[in-house]
Amino acid sequence: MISFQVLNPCGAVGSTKGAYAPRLPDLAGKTIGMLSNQLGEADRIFPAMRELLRKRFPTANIIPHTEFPQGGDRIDSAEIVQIVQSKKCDAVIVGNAQ
Amino acid sequence: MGFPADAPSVLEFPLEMFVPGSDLSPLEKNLDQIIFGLTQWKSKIAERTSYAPPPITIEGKDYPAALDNLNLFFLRNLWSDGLPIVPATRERVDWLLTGANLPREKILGTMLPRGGIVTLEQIAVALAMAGGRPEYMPVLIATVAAFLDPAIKHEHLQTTTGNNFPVVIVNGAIAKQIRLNAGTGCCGPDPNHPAGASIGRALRFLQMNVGGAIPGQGTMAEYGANRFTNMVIAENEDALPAGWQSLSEERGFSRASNTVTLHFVASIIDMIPSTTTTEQAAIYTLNRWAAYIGGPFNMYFGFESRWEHGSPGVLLMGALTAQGFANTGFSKDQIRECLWEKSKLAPEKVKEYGYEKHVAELRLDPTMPLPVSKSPKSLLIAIAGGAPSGHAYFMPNQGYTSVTQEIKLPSSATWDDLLKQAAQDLGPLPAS
Repeated sequence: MISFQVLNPCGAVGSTKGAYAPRLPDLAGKTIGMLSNQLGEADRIFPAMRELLRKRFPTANIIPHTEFPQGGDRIDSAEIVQIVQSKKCDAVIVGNAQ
Repeated sequence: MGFPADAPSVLEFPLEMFVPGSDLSPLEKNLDQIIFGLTQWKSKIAERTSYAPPPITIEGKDYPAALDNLNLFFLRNLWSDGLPIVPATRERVDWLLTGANLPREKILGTMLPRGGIVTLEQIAVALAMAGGRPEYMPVLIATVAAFLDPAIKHEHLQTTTGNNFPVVIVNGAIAKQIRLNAGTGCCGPDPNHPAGASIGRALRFLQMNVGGAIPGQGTMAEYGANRFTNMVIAENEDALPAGWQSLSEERGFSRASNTVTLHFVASIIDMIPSTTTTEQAAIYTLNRWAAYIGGPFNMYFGFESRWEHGSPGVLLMGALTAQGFANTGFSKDQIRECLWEKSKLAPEKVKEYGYEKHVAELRLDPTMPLPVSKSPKSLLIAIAGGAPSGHAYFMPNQGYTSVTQEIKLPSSATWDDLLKQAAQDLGPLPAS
């Protein structure tokens, strides 16, 4: 019997404290933005998700994706951060596939 | 997928949900988890940590059996590409690292979507699996550095439903030194010039294993990356007509520099014929090339950042095609201008292809023909391939931009030793 060792092909992965924004206590009364990259049926999935969330949290203000710039480049920019902040969003949902 | 165990909730939705007319009921079924991800989830990570997987022990009744077991084990763990791999033992990795000019722990970045940390050692592991040699390391390191450049946006290209692979064009004396091909059969496979296959396959191993681009999991590429070895070739600088700059010179480097230029493409089109023996033949060739370039590949202008910084793609032409153009009085920039003009889409074609929304988003005049890129200068042109002018390659764009990275060599003494060893192992350098 022979044996040999090989190095793992996947390499190390790391994780960092503070990588994620603090969570909200709940969504009641909160403003949630929806940002679409216009892919993966976002035009159907986002409105469906919005309706489900509105039924669960009637006092939440869920801003539809059509009220933000759309497209992969546009939602990955400093401009979109300013727009999200100007609309006073407490959270954003970003999608949809690539 | 390599997410830390403590990542935010990762929900699984069926791929079928993301197609037209799909059943959206999984949304309602997962609503509680979506709400959990926005509200109750908290990070348990208290400090920066990293997890480095340990080496793997492979056994067998003899060496061939152990090699079989290695390949089966790697396949079962989704660490292979389906072709046999070479064991990345500590000895082999150490040998490959003699071609690097920096310590093995040097971190080049993280490769997404998995977020694996790319060190020089990890690059050497991939090159070992791909059957590479230490003199390939400088090109591979520069290639990975270009790949990880934020301008490339590899995180999009690794995960997209689009089908792409990186093309790497090497300039400088290193190309011949390590047996990269710039001439006949340059895109491989070619046993006379084995470097391109190993370097390209090593990059693909990094993309899959460190970056997590496994079909249907990390990458949604509908047909895949097409090329197991990506494409790593050299520019035929000897064949540059008088007055024509090399690809790296056009991008600001001296002819003496060793560089890699990386660009993501979607496919390869063999443009036949590509003769330029007379002025009329050259015009016909430009007309045909423009028809290919002006095809409905919306990855040039379909997204705003591609319009600003991107390219229609990569065009390779052989030595005699280039010389024919030069004899007729064309410079590279004049070829670009001509192709840019001739490949514009007429407004009725824009409408026919459903591209009106792109014209509107880019705030262009809808009554004017739509060019394939903002500037004619963005088309990447390199001299490569067989000398006869029968064929040329056009590779339509799927990237955001291209990056040129200088190649750093180890010490000159080490480099000379590596090349001497290569000559002993592989024989004299091929004639071309």
